[in-house]
Amino acid sequence: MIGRVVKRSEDIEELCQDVFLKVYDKINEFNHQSKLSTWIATIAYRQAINHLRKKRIPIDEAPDDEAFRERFIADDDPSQQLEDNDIEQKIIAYIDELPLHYRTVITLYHLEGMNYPEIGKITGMPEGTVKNYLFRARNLLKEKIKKYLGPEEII
Amino acid sequence: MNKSDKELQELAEKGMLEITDSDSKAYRHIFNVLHKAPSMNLSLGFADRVINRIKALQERRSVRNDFIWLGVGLFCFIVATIVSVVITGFKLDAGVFKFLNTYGGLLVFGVLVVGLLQLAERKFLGSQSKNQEVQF
Repeated sequence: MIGRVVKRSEDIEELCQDVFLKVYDKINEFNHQSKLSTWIATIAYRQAINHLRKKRIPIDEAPDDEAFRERFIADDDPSQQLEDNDIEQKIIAYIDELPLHYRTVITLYHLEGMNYPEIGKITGMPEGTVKNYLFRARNLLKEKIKKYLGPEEII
Repeated sequence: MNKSDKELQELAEKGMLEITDSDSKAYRHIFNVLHKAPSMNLSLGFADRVINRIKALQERRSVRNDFIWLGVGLFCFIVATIVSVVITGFKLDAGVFKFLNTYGGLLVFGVLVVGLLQLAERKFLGSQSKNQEVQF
């Protein structure tokens, strides 16, 4: 979760420590109203977001305009294209390029196996927004992969 | 007929997606990867660092608690003193200590001697213990 929100490995390690510490510190406040994993993920998400704010790293909103979509699909680092022959690595790299909220939703849904209400609780987003972001994120990835594979690779 | 993106995503999620066109192939690739965690390794000393930070946190908390109890104790002491003074009508009087007025010089001399002894101890015994440490 933190690895998807924060990029620098040193920051990731420090934030992971902070999350452990916070869980240890606040475990008495856990009221069993949600799953423990949801509670811990909420702490991790907030720690990561607070870190970005503290470091003044802009939190990119999830843009729904066509211009962003076109830019995202078109942009590709040619040096990376040469290195990452493996499509799996490519998709993971593309996920990292997604706007923060898309990355978060995709990670919580697919990686952590959480449902829409749980993701909504963690991120503070309405359930409809979570569904919408998940759909759009996967759609963006599809367009990007289609472009990466090129017409000859398809089918 | 081409399926919509929504339908394709739903089928992919259920693991029932058949590759019929470029969209379904791309989704198949994506859904095969989405559940895989990006490679990220925490350092070997990660657990130790967390434990050390927890210990430091416990220590800080313990010191804070000590100060809180000290504060509570001082507060109670002051309250008890005030209540006692009010109830008993105690008047502060130097009393027996008045005799010190006549031995001011002796008092200063005593303080100076103690101070000099401390200095001498630090100078001679302190250097001896340092030498012993060097020998080790």
